[in-house]
Amino acid sequence: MIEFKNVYKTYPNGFTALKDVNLKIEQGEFVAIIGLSGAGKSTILRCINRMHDITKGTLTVDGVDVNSLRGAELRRFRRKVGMIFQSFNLVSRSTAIKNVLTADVPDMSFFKVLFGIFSKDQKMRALESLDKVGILDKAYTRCDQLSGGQQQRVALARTLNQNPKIILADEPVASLDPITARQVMQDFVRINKDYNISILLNIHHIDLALQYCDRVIGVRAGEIVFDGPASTITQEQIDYVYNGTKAPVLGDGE
Amino acid sequence: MENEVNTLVKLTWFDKIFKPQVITLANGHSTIRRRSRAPLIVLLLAVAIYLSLAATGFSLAVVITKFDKLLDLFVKLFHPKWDFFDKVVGPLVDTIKMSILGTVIGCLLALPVAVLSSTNIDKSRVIVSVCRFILALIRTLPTLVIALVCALVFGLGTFAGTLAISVFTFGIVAKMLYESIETIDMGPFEAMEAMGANKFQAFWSACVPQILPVYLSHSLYCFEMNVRASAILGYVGAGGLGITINERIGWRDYNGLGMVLLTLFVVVVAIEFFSEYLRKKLS
Repeated sequence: MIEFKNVYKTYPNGFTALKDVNLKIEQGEFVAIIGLSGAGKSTILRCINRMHDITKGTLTVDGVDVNSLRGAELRRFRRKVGMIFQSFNLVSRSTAIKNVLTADVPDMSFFKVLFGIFSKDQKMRALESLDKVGILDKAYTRCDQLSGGQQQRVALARTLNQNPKIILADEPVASLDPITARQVMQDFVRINKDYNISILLNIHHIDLALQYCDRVIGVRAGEIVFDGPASTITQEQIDYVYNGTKAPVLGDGE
Repeated sequence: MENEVNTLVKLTWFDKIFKPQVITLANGHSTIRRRSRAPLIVLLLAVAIYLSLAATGFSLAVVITKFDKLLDLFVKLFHPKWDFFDKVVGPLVDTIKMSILGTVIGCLLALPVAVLSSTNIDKSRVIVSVCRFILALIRTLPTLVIALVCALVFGLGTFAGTLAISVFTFGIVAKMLYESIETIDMGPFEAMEAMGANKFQAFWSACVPQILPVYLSHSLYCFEMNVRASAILGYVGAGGLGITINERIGWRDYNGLGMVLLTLFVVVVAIEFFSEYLRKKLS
């Protein structure tokens, strides 16, 4: 369970990204976070795995106060939290399996990392992770030869390979075409259901969010202005999230 | 009219002496064309050349009168003494050994220092500045000076040469490498940190695969330079072909010198081709 209690976040340049955020996300939920660019969506995600520090309030994940973690404790905590990025963040010169194997690196000894020694067992698990997202056939292809959708799946396989309880996805489909975006969203749904992994994703495509996610959180200027099941959100509420500008939903203008 | 035009372009003292030309169109609109600075620059260059000729005592007459001697030397150089080859092989192997070992040592040392000098990985400004200052210092010293110092400290011979090449390689490769490291994609590094990797693990798994081809390419390029450079190091007593070259010139044995240079030429060209081939494979 992820819990935000009166969380504030101010960046060093003085910009307040989060204002009094209160949230409770149970294990296994599939949550979409919507809002304008700069509203604080990424900040919410990045505070959960402490890529960013919070300024005030408490943020707990499974009872652990995230902001009190230091060094090795923090790294051990991050092992349970997977992260997916808009630009995939794969080593594009390396093969898919090598990228997936990097998920094992944090638990390996210095010399095994230095010489890149992975056990047969680790390699089989990496292949299984690739199989879970349906691109086992590309395991030994270099990532720069894969399409955007395939690369995002390799990234997903890498995250699955670390056996996370939570996956944070920062605009996972923003650089994909509409068809591929849907396929990747379906992958997320499947992973969410099959492995009971909580998934939080930032998304600009409201139609995809409403179609695939269970719960929607609307962020506007650092504050949560909507939080409820995807099925109950109204057009007025969506428009309010987007500062009163009419937002296109489900073929509505798109 | 002219006042109005002058406010558009900032005029320097040059324009005050050589007034700009004002071009006016039929409709009364005008623009100014400033006088070219080229004649002034040419004049300054001519003065500079004259002064340097006077200072160095250069005389074209000497070049012409001694030209036949130069020709004579070249004729001898191009008629190498083939049986001298036996005496070239030993120092040549020394030279290549020096370059290989020196390059390897220099490149190995360069990797960690290059990482510490890259602002995207090393967040400590102090360490970055110190490392870059040391590298700049090393690059300022000519290889010959480094070799001379090494020969004075560690005695004459190939050991001093190897050390000099290591130091030189270290300076160059570290500089080229940190510039390459600063252009890599830091996304994978961020992903590794988000997965719970420490800085070393994240760097080794996410950055090294990106750096490695560039690193090897820089190292090979440096090796090419080192073979050429190490031939001359013998001049200051650092072992290798340079000693033979020095000795042949001392004996005025230009046919022998021709043989040395020919061998060196063949080896350098062969190594450059090989290294270029490898570097193409890497990219």
